Amino acid sequence: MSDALLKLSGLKKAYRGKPALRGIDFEVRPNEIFALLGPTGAGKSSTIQAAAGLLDLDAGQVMLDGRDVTDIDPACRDLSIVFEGFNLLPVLNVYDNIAFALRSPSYREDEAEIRKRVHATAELLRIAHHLDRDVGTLSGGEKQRVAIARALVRRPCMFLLDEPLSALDLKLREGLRSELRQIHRDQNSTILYATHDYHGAISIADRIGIINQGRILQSGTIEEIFARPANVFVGRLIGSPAMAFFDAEVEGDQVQIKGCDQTLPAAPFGLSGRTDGAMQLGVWPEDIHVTDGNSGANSASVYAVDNRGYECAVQIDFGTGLFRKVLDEGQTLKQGETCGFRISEGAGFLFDQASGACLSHQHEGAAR
Amino acid sequence: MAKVELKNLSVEFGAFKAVDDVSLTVEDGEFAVYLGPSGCGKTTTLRAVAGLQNATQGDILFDGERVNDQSPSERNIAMVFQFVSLYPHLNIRENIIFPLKARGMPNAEIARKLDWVVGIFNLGDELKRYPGALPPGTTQKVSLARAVVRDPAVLLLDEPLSAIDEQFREEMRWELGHLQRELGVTTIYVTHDQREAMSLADRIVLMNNSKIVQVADPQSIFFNPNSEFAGNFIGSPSMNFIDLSPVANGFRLGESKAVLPTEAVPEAVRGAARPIRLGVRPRDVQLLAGPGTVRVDLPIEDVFSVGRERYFTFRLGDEIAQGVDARTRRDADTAINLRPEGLMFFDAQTGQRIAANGAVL
Repeated sequence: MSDALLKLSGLKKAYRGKPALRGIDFEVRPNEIFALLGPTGAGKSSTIQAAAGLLDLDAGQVMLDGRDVTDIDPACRDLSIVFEGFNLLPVLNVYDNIAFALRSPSYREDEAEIRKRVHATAELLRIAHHLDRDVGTLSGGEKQRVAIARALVRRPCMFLLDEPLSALDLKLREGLRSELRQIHRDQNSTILYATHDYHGAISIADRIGIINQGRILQSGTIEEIFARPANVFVGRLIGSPAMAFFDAEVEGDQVQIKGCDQTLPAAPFGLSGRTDGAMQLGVWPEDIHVTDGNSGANSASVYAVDNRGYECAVQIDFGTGLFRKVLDEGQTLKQGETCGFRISEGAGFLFDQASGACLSHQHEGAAR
Repeated sequence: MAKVELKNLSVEFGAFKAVDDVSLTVEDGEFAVYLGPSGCGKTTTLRAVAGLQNATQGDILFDGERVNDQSPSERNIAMVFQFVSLYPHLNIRENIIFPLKARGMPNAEIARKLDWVVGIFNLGDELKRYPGALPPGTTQKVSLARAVVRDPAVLLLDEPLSAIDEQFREEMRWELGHLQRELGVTTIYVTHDQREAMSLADRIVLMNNSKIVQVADPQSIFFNPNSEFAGNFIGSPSMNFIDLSPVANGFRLGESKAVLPTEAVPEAVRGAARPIRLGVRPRDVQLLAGPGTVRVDLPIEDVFSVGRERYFTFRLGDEIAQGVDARTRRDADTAINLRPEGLMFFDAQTGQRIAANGAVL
């Protein structure tokens, strides 16, 4: 699409011959939060650094607001970046840390304007009462607020946030995340947000790009990804709990599930290309119905139980594997108990056993 | 296995009281989780139980016997730390049987113990491998196997999952819950992660500022927190806290114009001559009206999808509060609906919960 604010195409980068980015393609649209979600070492930080111009790319193109900035100096890209490690300047107090970017040669503002903007930004992030403090005396949460304030104060065309909250504890992370989203709404900003935390990504992002081993595996809204996960890796990363996987065999018009008595009709999967043989069946836990005792289509036992307050999740052992599921309201199961389960017909996806790619074409284009 | 009792335990570092008059009984076979923010005294308590830290005051009893003066090795405890500390030059089998060999256990007995623990921990395929070759979740599992192989009276775990990557952490959380119940060993577990505490604990011991705030099973502490601290610390997304100020037809919510009707606040709470704060979990704030819900008119700010459900936010003056809604479409929303059973009231000054009968919990 041509309306992208940031467009990355074919980014490649190797460190000492070891590829970190193997062809990254995605775009961030104006006024959206785009989360780059993937495990440690997936290439999130390299991608952010490439967008910022902090990385010498081996190949690829970075377009910012319709302009090719691939070979343009970081200082001339009009981006702000926030790092996981805060990277505050220890010799300056909070005020001067925030004001620093406004005093740089490229973005020099007069002191009256700087004062106004620093105070306004500090108010927004609730650190106005810390402006005189030495950054060394701040707590982790306060330091990260200063780092975010320093990025916000400049009003660049886009923000790049690299795991900005990972160093903070859970409660603080949650609070800052909703504040960030609020600030984003109030200021109509555009944000590229890298994180390894699924919950962190879905509670802030408009769209998500799933990254692994230097490639974007899928991007879209969370509903789009749920409606058709591109491969096994995406299924394992998304959802709470994540997708349940079963070894399956397609024979004629039936899908046999290993370790289960239930068979599923093959037609609704809409297989194209390969239509029989060993595959992996992936099912969202919401499409599996767990029953007490031996009443379900397949018998299993409860491996472990996880209380979450309003809901209770269980891990089900079906002999040849395990899956996790949030129980229906009012349902209780104990560790070691026998139970049954049934997979809803028409739900689930078939994946290639070797490549992990999704072979089913049902729900295509449909968002739940 | 043993019952562990702490009686008026205090640990002081100079003028600083790291643990302040803590009393608690952990029953035989129980999984107790000490939960709290950094610096609340939970690890110091654990170290005192282990004998790695001297108690300044109070008694520590294992099965009724005072162990204050026993060394860590005499207490028959096993401890697992945040950072995996396996011997890198020994393979997994040698690591696990190390404590048994150190005690001079006969080889036949060692083999029997090893079989037992390898079966439970499902480590059969890893025995000949070295710690460096295993993923972090598995190495922590080996540390646990090594800890329990010699039948400790008490298993002490100090944030064993916090140094592990997110993806392995959830895996290990499930595994730990399963294993502890299989083993039935008395376990004291320290964490700052409320999700771990909720999913693993038989009982949660919530600590703050060196003191115990609340001791209860996960469901009770979640649905019946005794204070603002407990309500806020447990549960995700976090509980909303909103100051109430009396007006003609009810209570004004925060700095907004929205009013919580009088009847939504129990009479005994209304009568309390102190400023009141409302606590309500986002899941008890909905866009759609339900049976018995309390309607409050105010504008909805933002609605966004978080997978299968939606969060929404509403503004109360400067404060932003949050709700959860299962609806997939958004209309022009001009009200929130509060589930009455989810409304909790706190003393705005002390943070203590005020029960429906007016009693301070």
